[in-house]
Amino acid sequence: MLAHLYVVESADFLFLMKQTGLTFGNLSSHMTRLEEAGYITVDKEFRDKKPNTRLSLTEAGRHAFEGYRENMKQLFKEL
Amino acid sequence: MDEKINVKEIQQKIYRDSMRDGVTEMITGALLLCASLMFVNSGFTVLYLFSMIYLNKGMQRIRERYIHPRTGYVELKREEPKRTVGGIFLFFFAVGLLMYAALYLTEGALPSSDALYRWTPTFIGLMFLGAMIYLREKTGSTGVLAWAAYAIAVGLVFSIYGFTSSKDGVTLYTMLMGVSFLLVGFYKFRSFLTTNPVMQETDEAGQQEVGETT
Repeated sequence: MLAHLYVVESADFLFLMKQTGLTFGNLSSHMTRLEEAGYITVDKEFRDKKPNTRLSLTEAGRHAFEGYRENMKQLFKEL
Repeated sequence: MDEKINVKEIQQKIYRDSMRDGVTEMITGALLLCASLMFVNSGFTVLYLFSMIYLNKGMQRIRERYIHPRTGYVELKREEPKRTVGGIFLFFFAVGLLMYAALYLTEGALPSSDALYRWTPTFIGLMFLGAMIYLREKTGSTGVLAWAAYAIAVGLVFSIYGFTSSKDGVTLYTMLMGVSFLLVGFYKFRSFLTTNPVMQETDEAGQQEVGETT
């Protein structure tokens, strides 16, 4: 989910569900945890009387993801 | 997250998916048809300029109305406008200069306006090549290069064929390319609507609703 938000400006809940293949409940719980950690911002609004949840990565989230990628690269090098 | 994440692949898939709806092809087709009218009568230049503004807005409306309820909304990364516009102009002038030099060498004199009009379809075809190479990089799909091959092949045929008026070649070329893009775009759009049902968020209830609407 962070990887998808890393390469775009922002995306809504449906888009992330389609791209990641996660279920509504699963994605929702990831979203809550990432929001609590300060890695993403979540904006909820109504569009054409339908709920719409827009997500975007925060600077902290961007740094955390880049750190994770660096760690993974290092790990793969060492293997 | 225990697997290696390929960010470029994810980005390319997002771009590729955003091109599946056929809207870009339909708008390109409409723009080319408006451009062909400009070649028929320069009075249509105003129409072409307006179409560039309003077709873009039309594309956004179509996406809001038909595409986003099916795929969700994504705001793609903004590119540096200076870099993009600079790249387009650089390619435009490089191809133009090369073609001008080639015409000069083959004719042994400065090319006439007739010769320039005659080879404009090939020039436009090469412009498509530049655009498709850019799209190939963005989407990771080599299929887009088929458009470039088609545009160059048709451009060469129209340039070599002896039209009575050199303007006819470029007018018919932009018309044919416009109709081709419109038809392919419309076919992709129809297929997209039938294979992608409308989805709806119901976040408070913790459930997802999926249903078919127009």
